[in-house]
Amino acid sequence: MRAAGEEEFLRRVREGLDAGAGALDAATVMRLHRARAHAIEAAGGRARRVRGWVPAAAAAGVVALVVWIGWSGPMHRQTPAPAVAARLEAAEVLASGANLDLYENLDFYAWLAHGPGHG
Amino acid sequence: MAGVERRALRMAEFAVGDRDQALDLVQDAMMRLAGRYADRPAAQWPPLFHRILQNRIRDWRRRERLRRRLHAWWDGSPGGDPDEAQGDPMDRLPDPRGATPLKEIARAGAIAALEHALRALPPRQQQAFLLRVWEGLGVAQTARALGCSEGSVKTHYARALRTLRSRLEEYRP
Repeated sequence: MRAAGEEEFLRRVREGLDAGAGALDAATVMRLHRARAHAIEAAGGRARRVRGWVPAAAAAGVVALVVWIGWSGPMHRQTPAPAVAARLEAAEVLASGANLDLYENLDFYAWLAHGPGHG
Repeated sequence: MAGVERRALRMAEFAVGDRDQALDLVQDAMMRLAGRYADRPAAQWPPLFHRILQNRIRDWRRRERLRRRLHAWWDGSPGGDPDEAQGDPMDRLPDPRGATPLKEIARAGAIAALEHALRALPPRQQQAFLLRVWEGLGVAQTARALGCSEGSVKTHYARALRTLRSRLEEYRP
């Protein structure tokens, strides 16, 4: 538990530090923005490289799913239609060759690219 | 990230004493975070970023120490590590109020004094204090960022707080 005087001191410290950060010159702020954009671009490049092996993995996944659906279908007639639809949807996403890495990390790229509202 | 980057830059600048170097360190930390940790849970991104940045700062300090030693050896001068310098670093800093005695800029003077006092803190105390107070990291997160124990974080923080309060006493309203 902090004493009231300490809380007040820390509040003033934060205020002073925020003022210093807020007073950064435009050129520095621009360089920071460029650095962030560069990081996002590099992350995107990495994701694109990952995309290269996604079609092969997707093809293998589709085969596995088709076998799974085909095998379970006749054996388990009571499988609800929505469950089969979900499997087919997953197969469709895999077959599309889309960048799964990017989908999975969408929140991260939003946080990296935007302001405090994104964490 | 936009909310974190300015504070990160200032923290790195306090640590290395140079804005260009600090910008390079922050950019490097951003690149590494984006390249390696995008798949981590959202709550981990800010502390992870600071952990990476602190590692970059530590690496920079090691390189600087080595560079200074090599330079000293080459020149035949004693060289020196500011971290190991004798005496109170505050005594070597100019009084930030000296050039600006007007009451109208008292606040600016207080901010300058705060920044001078922070720069004069030993590196671990400085970064522990900033991570806890400014970045709002918990003791455990700060310990992970600095690569030390939670007990060390508490000690660094307490010492930094005591020093800063003492140094900035005269700026109290």
